[in-house]
Amino acid sequence: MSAYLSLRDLTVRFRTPAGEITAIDRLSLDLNRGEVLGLIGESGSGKSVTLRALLRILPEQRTKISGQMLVGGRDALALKGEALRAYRGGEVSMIFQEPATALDPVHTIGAQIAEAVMVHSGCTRADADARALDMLELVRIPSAKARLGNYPHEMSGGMRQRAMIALALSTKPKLLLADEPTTALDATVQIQVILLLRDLQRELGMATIFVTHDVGVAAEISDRVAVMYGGRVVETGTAAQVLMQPAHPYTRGLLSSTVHGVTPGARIDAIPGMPPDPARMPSGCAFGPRCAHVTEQCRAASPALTLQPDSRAVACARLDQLGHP
Amino acid sequence: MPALLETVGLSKSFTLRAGIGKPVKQVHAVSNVNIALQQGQTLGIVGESGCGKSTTARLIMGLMPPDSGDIVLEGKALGNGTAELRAFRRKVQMVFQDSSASLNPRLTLEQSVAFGPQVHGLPKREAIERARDLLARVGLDPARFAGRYPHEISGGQRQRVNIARALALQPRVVIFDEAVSALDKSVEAQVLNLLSDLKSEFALSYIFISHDLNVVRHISDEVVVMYLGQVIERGSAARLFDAPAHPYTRALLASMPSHDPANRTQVPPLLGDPPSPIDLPPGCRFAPRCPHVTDLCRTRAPALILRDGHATACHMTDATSGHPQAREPA
Repeated sequence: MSAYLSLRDLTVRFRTPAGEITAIDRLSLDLNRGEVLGLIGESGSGKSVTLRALLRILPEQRTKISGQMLVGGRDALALKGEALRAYRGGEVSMIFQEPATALDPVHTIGAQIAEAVMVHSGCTRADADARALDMLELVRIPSAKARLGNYPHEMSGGMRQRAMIALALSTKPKLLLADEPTTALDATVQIQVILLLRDLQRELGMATIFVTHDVGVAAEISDRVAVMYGGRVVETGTAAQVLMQPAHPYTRGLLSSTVHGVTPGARIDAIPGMPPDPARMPSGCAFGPRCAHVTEQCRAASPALTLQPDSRAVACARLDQLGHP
Repeated sequence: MPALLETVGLSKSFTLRAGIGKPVKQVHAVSNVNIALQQGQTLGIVGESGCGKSTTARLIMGLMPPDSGDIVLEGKALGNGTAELRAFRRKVQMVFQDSSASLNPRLTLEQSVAFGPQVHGLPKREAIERARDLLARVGLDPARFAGRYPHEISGGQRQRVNIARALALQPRVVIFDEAVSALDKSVEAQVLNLLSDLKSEFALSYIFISHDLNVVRHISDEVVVMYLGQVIERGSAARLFDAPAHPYTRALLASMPSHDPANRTQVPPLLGDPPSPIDLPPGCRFAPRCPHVTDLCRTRAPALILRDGHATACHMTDATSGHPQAREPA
């Protein structure tokens, strides 16, 4: 069976006044229906650009996209006009980090959901209103009926994010993209929203990509995890493989930098240096300049993502010498 | 041993007018907060948005006047005089979350770090010299960085500059308000290591405010948990994280995502959002969200009771309160 979403050598370049920069470099990944992929990485690693490329919302004038992007067997990069409108928000929808800016401040939550439903299903206003109420109940907003008439500013942060989720799911998308949806929330609210998304994803069965910089959040929700660095996937495998027994030196460093599990007060095993500037990518392996195991070979060519015996994939030329986890 | 820096009964509320002719509301940002920082220690303050942790920091720094209460440094309460405040600020410095908003975009990094000492009377040449030393000390080579402007460097580097600037006045105490929260994890780890080095090198004491419980556990000796403007639990980091006594602290710790995909969180520890600090409930402020709530909690606010160096404000940890589940903590 072929995957629902299949990316092959997806490359995204932006034209900027300072010249062309490569935000995503030959990204390949597959995602099945009903599966949750956690995409983790630091700022500038290309995880948000990947989501925006998938939703086809990158500015066309300034972006060059190459490679293959198959969604449900269709070439999503070739979509135009009406088909593209149906795709954006219909087949694929997105939950943004900041619902306060992603929601429209001058329309009520109910009106925003009903509009999305009408545009994508062509149903009547009455049916769309009924669907909006169902959606608010689905995301467990208390007294949903009264909340339909609320404007975004009248809701708390957690409630707004639930409304954003209701809006994203109202069109029955087959692919859900979530861009750090719980990062701006308080701890006790964050875990509620993660568990809600996990339940809804199981119930509705859509393929999901969940972008986060938080390893704990990825562990809570992902079936599989892909780690991005400098616009490329450097390691991908099951959540347990990648998060419990990381293989790539960057993944290992990222996990040892999180103070979770470190003896309080002890020195943290931090990665030196900082994430690369996409405008000035080092030659060869992007992680090379920060890697303790770097050799001439690493500087010469960027290593390919290679399938390992345990069916994870790792992009590191020195993996054999590092000892398998 | 007397505390290095202490707040005594610190309170602050803000007046909120919804519109002309509408009733005036009170936001109780901080209510009767008593915290104490011991020499050479790190005091962590945790809590969710609206709990008053940032207001507490701003009150300590004198960035706003408290309604009541005192700030006591080295046994002396801070008065109102300008000279007194200036002397206080030389000893207590603060690093904010937004690294770019807290640097003047028109000053070079070296000028920014040298600015404070110059205001406090150090000749320019010495101030610049000290600034270059400090930049080197926080890992920014002065030969490369001294003449640069804030927009030319990364967020992690800017936060290092802010740390250098806070140290330029040779303070005794540095307050970090979510100072590492905006950094990437790998950079955050470097900055946390740097903070621990600087602390021993310059004999500093820290107040470390963060919503990230992992980071607070890592860096703190003592931890204060705040909820809706009040301290609800306070104690050593080890005891607070290993055996939290207050139901809110327990829920907050249980809300931390599990790092093991085989052992995920199954049920959210709390429902709903943290309420706003306007129109507070009469009894315990946590009562509306507490799984162990009784009528007693709704009517009478529990006092913060100190026992064996650990303080908790909950009827359940006070055997005499009359709460059905009340017992003395072990």
